[in-house]
Amino acid sequence: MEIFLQLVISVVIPGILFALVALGFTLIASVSRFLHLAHGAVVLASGYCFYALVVRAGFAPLVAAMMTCAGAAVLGGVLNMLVYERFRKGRTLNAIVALIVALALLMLIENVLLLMFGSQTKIIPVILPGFISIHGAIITQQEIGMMATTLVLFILTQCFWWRSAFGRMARAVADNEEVAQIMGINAARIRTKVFILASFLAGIAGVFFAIEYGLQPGLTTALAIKAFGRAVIGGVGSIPGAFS
Amino acid sequence: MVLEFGIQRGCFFCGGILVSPLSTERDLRKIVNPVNPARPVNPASIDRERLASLDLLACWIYQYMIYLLHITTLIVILLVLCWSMQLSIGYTGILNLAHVAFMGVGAYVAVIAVKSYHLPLPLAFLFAILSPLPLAWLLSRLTQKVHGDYLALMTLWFSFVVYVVELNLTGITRGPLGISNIFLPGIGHTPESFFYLSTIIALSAYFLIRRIVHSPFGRVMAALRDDEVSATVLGKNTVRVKQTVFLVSSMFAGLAGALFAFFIHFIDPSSFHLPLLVSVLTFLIVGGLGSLRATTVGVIALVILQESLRFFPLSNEGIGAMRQILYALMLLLILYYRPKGMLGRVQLPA
Repeated sequence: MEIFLQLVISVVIPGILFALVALGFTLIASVSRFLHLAHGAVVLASGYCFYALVVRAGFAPLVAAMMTCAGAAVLGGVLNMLVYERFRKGRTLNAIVALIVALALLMLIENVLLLMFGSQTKIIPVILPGFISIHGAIITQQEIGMMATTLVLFILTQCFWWRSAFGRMARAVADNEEVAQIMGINAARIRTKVFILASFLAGIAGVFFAIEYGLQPGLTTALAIKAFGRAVIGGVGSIPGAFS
Repeated sequence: MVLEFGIQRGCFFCGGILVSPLSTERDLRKIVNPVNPARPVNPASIDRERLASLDLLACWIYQYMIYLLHITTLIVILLVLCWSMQLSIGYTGILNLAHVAFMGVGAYVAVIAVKSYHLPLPLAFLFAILSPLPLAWLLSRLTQKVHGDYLALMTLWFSFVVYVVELNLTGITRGPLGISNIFLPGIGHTPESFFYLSTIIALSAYFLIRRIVHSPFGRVMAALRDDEVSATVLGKNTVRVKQTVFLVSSMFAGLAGALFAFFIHFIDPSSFHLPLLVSVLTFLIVGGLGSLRATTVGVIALVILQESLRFFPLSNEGIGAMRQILYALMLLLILYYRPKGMLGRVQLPA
């Protein structure tokens, strides 16, 4: 019984992390109509940023986490504005070109991080010590915090996407971009904002990844593969799908 | 052997030409150690010293030539890989990102045939060429209904599956440990004979691919790239054409993989994963799509660029990272400023 529970826990924890990444990824894919493969690189970059802030510069973890998420959001917005928008001819984006650009960005960011931080695995010291034992299976308090935060984030994003004005505009752009533009929605700006939101989520995922697993430059590809697989299986464009 | 002898003599000759201005060394030595009439200097000893420095220079030039041979062989092997990828991307519009995975399969099969089963070399090469065929057939069946970037994604995922299978079939492929100590084929196991072998193979591959391209079948391939619907309307069996292109390009990929394995003396699943894929894509896109000459130029230019990074003072991991950064940046720049590539004739198909 304990083994079973431990197994369940050891599956759910990474599942939560990947669900967070996959959520941002599906949001971008539904609004921007292509697969932003460099999302995993944003996650890794935010993980490294968190590491640098906490271990090298000595900020408190919570402050560092907030700064990292802000930085990740900025990175996402910058990526979109500088790179993807430039490749649009008029309003359409050549999807194959976007794919190759995303692949190139993934490699670029991963190797810049490798240059900056070196290839050794970076570990972050424990932030919330203590654990709870359920029938012999152990969950650390960090993991509980991460699960709770992720759940809250998912619910928030769900509400945001389906109930708020911005969510309505984003759904309109995802549905039919031309008609949305006719109705007066600035599609480019909505796309950038969705990128920022998704990268914010990626930032949080990166922080959690850094806490839970430690950072290596080779993680982007593993992250990219697994998260996108989950996103696709869940259904591109559906939030509960990303969660499962 | 003859070539090696010739290279050595050539190096001595070059060394001699370069060293003769250094005769000032002898004058300096006369100033520092003036001739003592009580102890006559043996002229033969000075000549031997001069010959020693000549020898050193010749050795340095010889090493340099070996390095050049190494790069040239690498270029030749990459050319085989890139020409076959040009067949499927540039001429048919199939963005087959599993090409590098096929190369990996060919490499593994060749090496296992030679090391575990001790097959003769031509047979090993034959198996390496034929081995990606079932995978290519499977992939072509899987991607029949899919177009554009979803096709690319499916092939990418397929290559990841192949990667994971290679990683986990530790009984056969030794997983992440890789297979090492692979000898160099060719007469006498020297780099020069391997260079000759790979050049001959690459030239025949080039002529084969050129025949495919400048043939009626090649025209159908180009029609598929430009407008698949029209090609179907005109009665061409697009499914069959795509299948054939997958199979043929995978055969060349297997060949390139076998050559690559013997060249690098060590293979493991990660050498045929994303970094090599991005490099090959960069070669193709920077060179240009739709023309074999374009990939030749692209491969040569980028390999030279990549090797020039050796002369920068970077740490070990720095060089690897800078290479990948260079490729990624070149890809982005070329896609933005000149999407046809340097010598290409078409852009990436939409």
